[in-house]
Amino acid sequence: MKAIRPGVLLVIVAGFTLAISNLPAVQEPAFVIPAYRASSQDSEPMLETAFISGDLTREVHSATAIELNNGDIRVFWYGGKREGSKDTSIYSRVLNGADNSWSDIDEIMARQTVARDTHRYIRKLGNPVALVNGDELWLFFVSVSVGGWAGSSTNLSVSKDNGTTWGPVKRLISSPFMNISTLVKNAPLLTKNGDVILPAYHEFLGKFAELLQLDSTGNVLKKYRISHGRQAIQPDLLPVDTTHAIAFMRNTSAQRPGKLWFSRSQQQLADWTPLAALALPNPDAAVSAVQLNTPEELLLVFNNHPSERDDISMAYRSGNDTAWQLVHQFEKKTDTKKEHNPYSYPFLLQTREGNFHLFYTWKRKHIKHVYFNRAALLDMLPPAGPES
Amino acid sequence: MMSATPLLTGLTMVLLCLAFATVLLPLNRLPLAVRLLLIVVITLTVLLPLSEYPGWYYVRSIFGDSSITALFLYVALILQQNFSWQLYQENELVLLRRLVLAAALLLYPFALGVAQYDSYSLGYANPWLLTVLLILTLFCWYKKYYFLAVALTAGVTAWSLQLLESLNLWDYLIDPALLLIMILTWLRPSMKKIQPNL
Repeated sequence: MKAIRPGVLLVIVAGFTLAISNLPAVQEPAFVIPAYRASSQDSEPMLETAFISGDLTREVHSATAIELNNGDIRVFWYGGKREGSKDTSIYSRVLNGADNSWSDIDEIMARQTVARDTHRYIRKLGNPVALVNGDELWLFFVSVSVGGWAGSSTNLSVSKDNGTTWGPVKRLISSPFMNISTLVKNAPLLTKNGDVILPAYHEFLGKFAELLQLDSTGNVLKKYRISHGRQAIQPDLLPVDTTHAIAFMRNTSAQRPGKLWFSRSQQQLADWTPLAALALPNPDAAVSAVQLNTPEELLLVFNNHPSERDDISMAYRSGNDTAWQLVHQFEKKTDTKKEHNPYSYPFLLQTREGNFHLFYTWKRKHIKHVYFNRAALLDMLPPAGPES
Repeated sequence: MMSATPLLTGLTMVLLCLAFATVLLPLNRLPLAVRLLLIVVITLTVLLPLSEYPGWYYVRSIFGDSSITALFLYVALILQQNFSWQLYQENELVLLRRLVLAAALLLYPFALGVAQYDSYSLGYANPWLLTVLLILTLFCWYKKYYFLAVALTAGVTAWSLQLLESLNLWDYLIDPALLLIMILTWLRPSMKKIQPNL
């Protein structure tokens, strides 16, 4: 029995020595800044709309899209009998950049696949968001095992063939509380060392916005909190330089509802300004923004109402200190039929050529696609709009 | 055929279920044969497919992975309560309960967004948390709480080897199921007391 004491001490020394020598060094993220798009004004203004989600499922929701390395646009959404029903899967199709044709719709992720790969019971899937990371296409999406969306966890699957086939699903571990309530909605960003910054949010008891820093294999390295309490979710993150970012957020506040939340990172990504209410309204709804010729020249698609998702509108601002201007309305409910939130979850994508693809949920029945080119945007903008 | 990792994960879920059964059911008052039979039944129920998936998929989808500290406690608790194999002292259980409660108070309210501060972030490659754990582990060793000292060291070692899905040290030390079982060991007066001479 006397050997126990030195033996245990030896175990302690060995264990902690190993841990200290393996202590990973996590770098402060430095964003890859996208090249701001050169305007191409040669073409005629073009704005086209189409329903693209087919009729495979009764309800569809939460579309996002990514421009692939070959110039094609891959769109993702989830669908099922209802938003929260057990048969929800992730669906996808591709808009061919060469001939402007749509591929067939594929069910790319089913709950059975996620259960098999993560070794957990999975009840439903939702909110896909994608990232082109070198030659790989990363797909993040949420899954629920118990309860509603507040019980979601985030998952990652990687495709090496632009989304035709998908690798094993990996569960992201991001909360000590049964790892529940980490959701995604908006596009991730890349950092210079290959890490990924994934905008996320929590909505079990608290409702707040966060960022997850992932390594090149999708492990969570660090977390940054943008807000706390029950104020804001679904951050849309835009880098303004290599070390700073801005975020627009859905307003879930009971005390200060109705206005779009905004925050700006400070010295480090862990430090964010307190939530500021913009002049733009927000009916507790998702928004999506892109940067134009400069980091602070923005287009933002949103519901232009403090309490109802009855329209889909687009606002523009030319710089940090300038006011937002409403430049286009894509949808407006005109009939008096009682419909709950007919238009929601916009996702705006800017292509490398400087044109735009907007996707949003249309009465939960369709994903609507709006394509408009740079010339069409210039027609929408006020006279002092972006220079070429 | 299951690969080794899913099977091991399944076995950790078996331990979790057996630990819950041990603190919730009067297993120690049953004849040994009945006790063993119940343990086998619980093990098979958790490991074998229930309808669509193995039973442990459902357990894991609710509780997540067990921390390493928790697994040490579950093994010790099952052995001590059902087979009178004493791996820890009563004082160690009391200290572990206090530590788990303190860690839970430090972690869970912040994880649910009570403040801008997020204590869970301390678990990502933080030398200060490691230092605190080293001091705590050496204190346990000094007090001859060898079970706790080895359990904490095993948690830290497993974290450095990334044996769980998480890279966060907290997930190797504490989990909500451990907190629940710690509370149950405190609330259940019918649990067998440990001999004081160990």
